Amino acid sequence: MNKILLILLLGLVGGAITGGLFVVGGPGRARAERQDTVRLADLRSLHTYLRCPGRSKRLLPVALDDISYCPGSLGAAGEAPNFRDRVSNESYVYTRLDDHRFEICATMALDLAKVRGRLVYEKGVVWRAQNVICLPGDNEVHTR
Amino acid sequence: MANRDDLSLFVREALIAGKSRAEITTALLHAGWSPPEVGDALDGWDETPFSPPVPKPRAAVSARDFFVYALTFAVLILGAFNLVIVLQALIDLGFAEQDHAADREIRWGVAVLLTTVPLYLWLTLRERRKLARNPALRRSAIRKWMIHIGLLLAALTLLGDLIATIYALLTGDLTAQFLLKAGAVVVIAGGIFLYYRSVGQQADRR
Repeated sequence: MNKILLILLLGLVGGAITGGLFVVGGPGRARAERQDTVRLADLRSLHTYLRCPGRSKRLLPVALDDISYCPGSLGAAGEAPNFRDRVSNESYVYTRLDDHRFEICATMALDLAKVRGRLVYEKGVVWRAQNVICLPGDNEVHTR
Repeated sequence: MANRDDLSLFVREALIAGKSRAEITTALLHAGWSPPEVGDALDGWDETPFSPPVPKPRAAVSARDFFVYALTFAVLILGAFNLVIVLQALIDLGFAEQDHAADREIRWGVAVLLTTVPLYLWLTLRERRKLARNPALRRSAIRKWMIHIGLLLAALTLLGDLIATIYALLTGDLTAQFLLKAGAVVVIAGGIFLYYRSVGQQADRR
């Protein structure tokens, strides 16, 4: 009897490991998830930088990496937010919709249609294409 | 006050003196020893006319047994706990897509299972081979204690699961998701309970 029980419990363990790995994916998938989380954090920092809270109304910069645009949003040591994707080293896509409205986008590693809600989906994030997400905003509201 | 060694010595000397087991029992009960203590003391000596009395083998305690069985049970408990975590996280994902914490729980649980299950199997099969070669090892007191500690933990887990299920019923939270998660605990803790009960019964028979 104990041999049958042991085999059944081992079958359950095998099922849990297989099912678990099938659902969460392997190391490559985990690495991609972590990279996407960093990309989303970068987009949030850039969004704050472009909104430039606390400053009088001003025109949006033409280029994303214009660090003179909002000195108050730089870090304590004057460090700028990440303008470039740390994995691909390509610049995040900044679209200046008009003088005060913008959109900042990133290409994620994972296909968002396949991972559905299990990637970090947060308020204000817009899904533009298969694996492109954007954060639209404006710098007309100057209070946090 | 006399201890169990004195009791065993007394029984030995009484048997050498030719006293019957009934007479020894009456004397010891009169002196205030309990029936189980008297029974244990008499069971320590084989019922044979041979003199001096022949001692029966007793459960032994060794540091090596403690290491092997404590490690086996630690690995079992860790593995069982994480198996429950993985199964419950999979159930959660079946009911709610947006659960980032479930991914971490599954990855951690799978890592623990991939480590503990082979180790548990290796320790158990190695021990089984040793027991087959030397049945005297079945008398290990540590082994018996660990089997019963395992049974106790599995029984307490089942009890806690039942209480949680009844509480969920009373508070109106008894959903299909909850029932499946409680069922996972019953299957694992129940399986471990039945397995060790079977192992314990085998040990008692020998």
